[in-house]
Amino acid sequence: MSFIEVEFLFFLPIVWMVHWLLPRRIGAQNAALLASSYLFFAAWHWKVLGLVIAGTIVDYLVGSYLGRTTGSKESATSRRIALATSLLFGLGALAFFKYEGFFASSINALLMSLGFSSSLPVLKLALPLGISFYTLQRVGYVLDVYWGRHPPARTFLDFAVFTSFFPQVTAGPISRASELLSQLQRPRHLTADLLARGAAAFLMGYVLKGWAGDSIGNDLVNPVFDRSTEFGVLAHWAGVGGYALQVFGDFAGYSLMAIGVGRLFGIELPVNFNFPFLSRSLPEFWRRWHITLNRWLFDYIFTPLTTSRGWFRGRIDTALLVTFLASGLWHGANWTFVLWGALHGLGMIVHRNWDEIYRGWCRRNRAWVQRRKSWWYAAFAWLVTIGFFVLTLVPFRSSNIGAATDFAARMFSSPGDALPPIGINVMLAVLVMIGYHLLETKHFAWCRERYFALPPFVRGLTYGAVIVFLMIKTPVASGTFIYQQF
Amino acid sequence: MEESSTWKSVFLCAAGALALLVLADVLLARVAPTQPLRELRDGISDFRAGDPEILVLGSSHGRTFHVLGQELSRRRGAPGLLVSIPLENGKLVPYEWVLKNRLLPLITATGTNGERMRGNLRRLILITEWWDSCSFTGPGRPYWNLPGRAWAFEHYVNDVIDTGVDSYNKNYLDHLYRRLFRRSVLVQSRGTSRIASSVERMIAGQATLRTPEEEASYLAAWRKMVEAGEECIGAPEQIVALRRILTTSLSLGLDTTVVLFPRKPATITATAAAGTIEQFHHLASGVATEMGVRFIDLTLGTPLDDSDFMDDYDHVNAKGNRKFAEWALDNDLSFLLEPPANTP
Repeated sequence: MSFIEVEFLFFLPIVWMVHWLLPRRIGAQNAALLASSYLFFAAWHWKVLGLVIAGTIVDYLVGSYLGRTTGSKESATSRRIALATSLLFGLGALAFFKYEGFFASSINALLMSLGFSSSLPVLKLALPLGISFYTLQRVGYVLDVYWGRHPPARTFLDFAVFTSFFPQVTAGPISRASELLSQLQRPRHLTADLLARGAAAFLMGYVLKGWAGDSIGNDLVNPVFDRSTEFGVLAHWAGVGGYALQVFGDFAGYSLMAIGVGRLFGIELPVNFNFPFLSRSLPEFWRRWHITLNRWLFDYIFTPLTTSRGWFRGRIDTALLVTFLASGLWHGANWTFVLWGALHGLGMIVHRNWDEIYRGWCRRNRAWVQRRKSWWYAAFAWLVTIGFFVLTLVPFRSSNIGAATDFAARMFSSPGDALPPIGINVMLAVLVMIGYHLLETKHFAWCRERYFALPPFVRGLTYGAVIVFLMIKTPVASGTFIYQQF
Repeated sequence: MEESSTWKSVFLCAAGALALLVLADVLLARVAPTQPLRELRDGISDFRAGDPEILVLGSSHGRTFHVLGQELSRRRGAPGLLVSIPLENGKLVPYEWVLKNRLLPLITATGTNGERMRGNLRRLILITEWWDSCSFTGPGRPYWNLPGRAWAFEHYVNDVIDTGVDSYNKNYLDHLYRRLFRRSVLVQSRGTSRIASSVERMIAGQATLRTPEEEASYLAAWRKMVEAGEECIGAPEQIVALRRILTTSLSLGLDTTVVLFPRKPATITATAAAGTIEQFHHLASGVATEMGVRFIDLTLGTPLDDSDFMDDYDHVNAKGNRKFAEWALDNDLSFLLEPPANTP
């Protein structure tokens, strides 16, 4: 069940009313949220609940133990064993369901190429709903408790809701314990502001995901990628550019909807996308795109690597590469994602070294500082950043490395000559995406201010118009949700 | 919603949104009106509430028999004689599912005295045509019309327990959602191009659904489809279902009739008449004869002409329904005017 499916039209109003009709006590509210969340999992398949509940019990017990033994030197070994147990269970389940087939087939292929016979079983397992997201959230919690950054959950109920809160299980945002668990440990109250901001976020998310992203995907991206040989060079560039917008609409839209639903239950989830196409450097891009995953990767992979006493200490470039390889692998069990991660790791390394060089120039001559503030530097930096991101989406969207290579080659010379399939719907969707970003810039701040200064009834009319448009243009449960597959 | 909202502003905002939604719905209903159609659920409700003599099972064409039922009641001076159970986009396998899972429990239901609660039932008419005997091919679970049109809540719950929510069983909730907002053109037409194309036609000043070129292309597509039907008719699972339906009906002691429904004459080319239509006639009549049930082929044997069919070329329009009802009760279906002699 995703937020754009018809089930959700029935599910949300019912669980929302039940939640707010119950006494405003932590226990009652969290019990309602847990029941709703488990129902949400069960709708995918009730068998997945066993995995969710087992992982929750393990991490709750480990967290409680780690919390009790914080600062106790004699228990260091047992604390490490407890931590290892939790990580093995959580990451082991993720590895088994998500990567077993990938690693088994890769090892088989490698051994075959070396002349050995190998037939490791390649299991084609369905990826349990949300496992990539809730696993990282739990691992983050256990590590935070282990390092003493956050106290353990007070009750099993609080922790169970923290790891299964239904708005975020499908595709994040991935919350830190300090963000979500702390909210779950106090009673929530529905305020007009939360309701209004929740509904607005949900509607904006629906526009981005339910209409804009899916329109660009169905009308432009899928035809170009699926029948690449029929299209000319221009269509290939338009296709991959469109894919960047599709993925953004799909994921940023869904994240916004999750945030909106969270607010309806009195819970503020972390922002996951902050207008990434305004970025002028790769590090800035990754601070704006899938924010909660990237900060997780930097909190729990990059920082421990570079600050530990091991080999990685001080080797920032290598740690960057490892971090982005992990990001690629997280996105999918396929060499195309590994390549995508490697390209971004290398991009980050190049940027870091370029930044070092540029700072050296700035220290020698202040004119370089002014150049960096010029509009043309900003434009060039934006073009390089967004251009690099868009180009790396070729392997990201392709089914295998060979297909990615073929597609990339056709971006410069293609046997086909068909023009990009850009109709009025795609053009409108692209304009909405551009407008969504531009409104965030200071140049268009006046638009936002004037809009929000309108009388509430008039603003309501505009929301109504958007809903009418969505009802005319989008079927219930249109398209697929890209990030649910990760 | 940048500034902090108050309950008053939220209420006014919601009122504005709702006002525009209602206004748009009312205005769009004038441009692209939706017609409430009789569905399987209506038939089940009528059957549950009444005690008819005749049950008509079939695809959306069963709606025509609802009009025939009204004419029959008028002529015999008895209300509720016939209940039609139309399953949109039906095929023989889903008809069997409906008979077994939805109708049989009602047919065989007994009261406290041990007698059947619907003891008047004497006849079953199965409405079919060549298309019903072709099986769906391709991935996924077929008969997606069943969850939406025929399932009860318990069927939905059982399926979700078995498979989780999927694209097949979600049709149940999709149709429930549509039923909840039966009068809303925005809900009924959601995600289809109906509203957009109606608005475009209105702006262009086009009075008909299609331009002459589109009409010719649509007709050609229909003719091609009917001609190609001979490649798929008589799918084994559909014929097995047909036999089972007839067997069940006979075992209940019902006077059973198989009727091949009228087709729009323009859609039947000479090739189709000699191929698909002729072959299906032989196939269906063969099964009917073998099972000892009445067989009536109305495919092209009625006074219905092209103007008696809807724009979709498939269904009979209101004028055609009345014409058909009057003609059929004077001719091939005149036996319905007399109460049957048999008893279950």
